Amino acid sequence: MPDIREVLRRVDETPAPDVWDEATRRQAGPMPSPPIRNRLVAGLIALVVAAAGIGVLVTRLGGGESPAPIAPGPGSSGQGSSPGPTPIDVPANDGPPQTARLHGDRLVVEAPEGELEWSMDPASCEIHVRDLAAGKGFASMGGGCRGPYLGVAIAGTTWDGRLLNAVNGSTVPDPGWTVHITLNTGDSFDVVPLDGRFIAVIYACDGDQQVVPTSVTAVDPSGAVRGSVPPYKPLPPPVDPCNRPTPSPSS
Amino acid sequence: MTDPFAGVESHLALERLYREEGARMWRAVLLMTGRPDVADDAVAEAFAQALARGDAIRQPRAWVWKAAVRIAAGQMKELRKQGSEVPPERPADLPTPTVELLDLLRDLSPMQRAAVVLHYYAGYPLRDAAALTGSTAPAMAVHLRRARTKLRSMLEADDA
Repeated sequence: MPDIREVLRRVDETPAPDVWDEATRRQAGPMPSPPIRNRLVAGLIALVVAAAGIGVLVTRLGGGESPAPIAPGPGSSGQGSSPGPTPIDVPANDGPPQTARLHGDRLVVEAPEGELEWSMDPASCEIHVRDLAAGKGFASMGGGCRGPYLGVAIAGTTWDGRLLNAVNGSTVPDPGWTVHITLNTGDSFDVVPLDGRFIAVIYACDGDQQVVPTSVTAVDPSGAVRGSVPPYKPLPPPVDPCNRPTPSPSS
Repeated sequence: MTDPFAGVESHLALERLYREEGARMWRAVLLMTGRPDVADDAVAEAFAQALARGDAIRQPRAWVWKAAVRIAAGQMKELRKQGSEVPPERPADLPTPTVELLDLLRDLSPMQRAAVVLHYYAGYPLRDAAALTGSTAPAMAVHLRRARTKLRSMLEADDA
């Protein structure tokens, strides 16, 4: 008789649909509650924990330490208030900070085994990856580094001050592939990010080991460096990132 | 004004989690429910809810799995109420081995299916599988034992 695990693995032949875009677009509903019995048990435990917490608080009152500040991420360079086409360091958790330099109107992040090139105009942002070395590209796919992968986040404010937050990620099959990032407020009004700030978070790859995101940088459409990502902050409400923008007549 | 960069790290971490776990999660929900449409919705909704909560989630992997399992269970409960638990027509795009597998699992109760799928397919220990379904480890052990017995007898009958 076949092993149950083997039998269940037959389902792996079924291709799973990619529902990530759908997840980023939907307005999430409430989390379903566990059964009432579990909630009662959880409530009871919460009461016990709260009582214990009050006890601890009482014993420490007067001698407590202030909470430790959250340290900035490695390589945080704090260029948020230093506009201008100067080289900036970007965080790198697995090595020395990478450097981003402005070349004309393009921001180039000099990455370990390749180069990530940005070009921007008021209506679009293009990210061009080139010179990816085999096995050492920007990668984060399917639990390992099976292929170059670029995780890109892009955010900004619109010409009329509205927030814009679009996040995209695309597989980069070959050097020379271009990823088009487009922005939309989600209300079907196409906008131009005149006051936009842009960031890229890149998942690096070293052999089979996936490493943590390594670089964060920001530049506005004029080419000025505006800052780096402040890590560990809550997520703003999701906004539809789908449609490619066209220049607004108001811009 | 809210910082437009806020939460980007957690968003990307969730995307990475999706790339790592999404397909396996979708297949696990498919095995539990027998319905690709429910699997689509449960996985998308679980990640949508995780995205909305951002850094407030301390253990995204466990959180998203739990959300997907519970959303799927809730949907199946609704479908059972409506008498439409089994899809009106067999999904055409599923490979034959998967369809046969779903037919096999259909003879188990929902909790037995959850136990066997979470433990044997998703690789969760009993205690964690129980946490995902809102059950207890002893109850999950009973479901798993009964599921195993049923599955073995069905597989033996198929072999014979």
